[in-house]
Amino acid sequence: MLPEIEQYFRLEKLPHMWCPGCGNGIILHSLVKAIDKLCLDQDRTTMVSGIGCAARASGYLDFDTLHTTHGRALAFATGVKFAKPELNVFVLTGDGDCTAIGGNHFIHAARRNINLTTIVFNNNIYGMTGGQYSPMTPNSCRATTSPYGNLERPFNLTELAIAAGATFVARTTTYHTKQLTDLIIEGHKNKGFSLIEVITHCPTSFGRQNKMGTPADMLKWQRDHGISAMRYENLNPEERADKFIIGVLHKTEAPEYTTEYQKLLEKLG
Amino acid sequence: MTGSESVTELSSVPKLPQTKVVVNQAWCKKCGICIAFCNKTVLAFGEGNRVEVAQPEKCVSCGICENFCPDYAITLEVEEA
Repeated sequence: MLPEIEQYFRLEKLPHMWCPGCGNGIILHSLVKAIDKLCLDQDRTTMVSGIGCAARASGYLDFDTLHTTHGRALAFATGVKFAKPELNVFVLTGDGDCTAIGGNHFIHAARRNINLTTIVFNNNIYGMTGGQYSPMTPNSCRATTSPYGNLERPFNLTELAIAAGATFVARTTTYHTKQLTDLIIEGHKNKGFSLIEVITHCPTSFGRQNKMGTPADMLKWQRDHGISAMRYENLNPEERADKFIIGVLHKTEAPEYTTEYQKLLEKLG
Repeated sequence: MTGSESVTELSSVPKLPQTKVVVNQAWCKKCGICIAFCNKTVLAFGEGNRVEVAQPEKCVSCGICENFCPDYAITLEVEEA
């Protein structure tokens, strides 16, 4: 058994309930590698998740974990961080959980710039409930609730986070595991709200309906379509159409919420 | 300087530790990611789609299978010399 799995997972809960080939397991592996490299204290690290496939992640990890109500992962995490600012708080949430049901919590957590590391497992669909389209399902893609193709346009989650005030915004895929680990480390070191959008694959609900092939084919799709900003710059608009940028997209500094609150407490004595 | 002098002596190149690919069948869900990404065709589907280490001698210990396995079922175990 891998040492990082042995140390950071609740082994009695494994194998996990995710479908064969699901990318969520790869994200969790990268997350525990990042935590291992950061040398975080397991007893002072909290994992908060909402509802959905991705949100099951907290149950497999051997930390203080909160499996909360649908869309409210960020709300609970805000509470945890506010009460105990010394804790390392990670939020594990899916695309539906974060952008639909928890959309308001998401923009306000970003606006407050509270020191949380949010990892969004973006599989473009509501997998657990049977493959309904989510706000992150690309236009014209099939879902059980859009059998003729999705009419709606998806959110650009990273731009939404930047506009709302997040101070660290990055995107990567489950194919780029090393980069994912590095981005989680960088996101955790940022003093403020960090968003890491991870494009993952759902072979059962999304891949099957959109004829994307095996889990390995979906990973290869991520490899071919996720490109660095530098490569993206050199493409013409036609070539850019189906590509997306991976890597750090935005990094800035702003007052952090819990620090500001501590300052206020000191000022009032 | 002749051409032969610039060639690095192969024995001077540090080698990766010799490893053995171990598949935990109880956790494996037979998704086939490891087989698709193995460049050396070390792994293959066996009877009943069981993932088997078909050609262990070809393994170069790159760790791609271990890295991509969503179920943590593959481990590269370092063999003692």
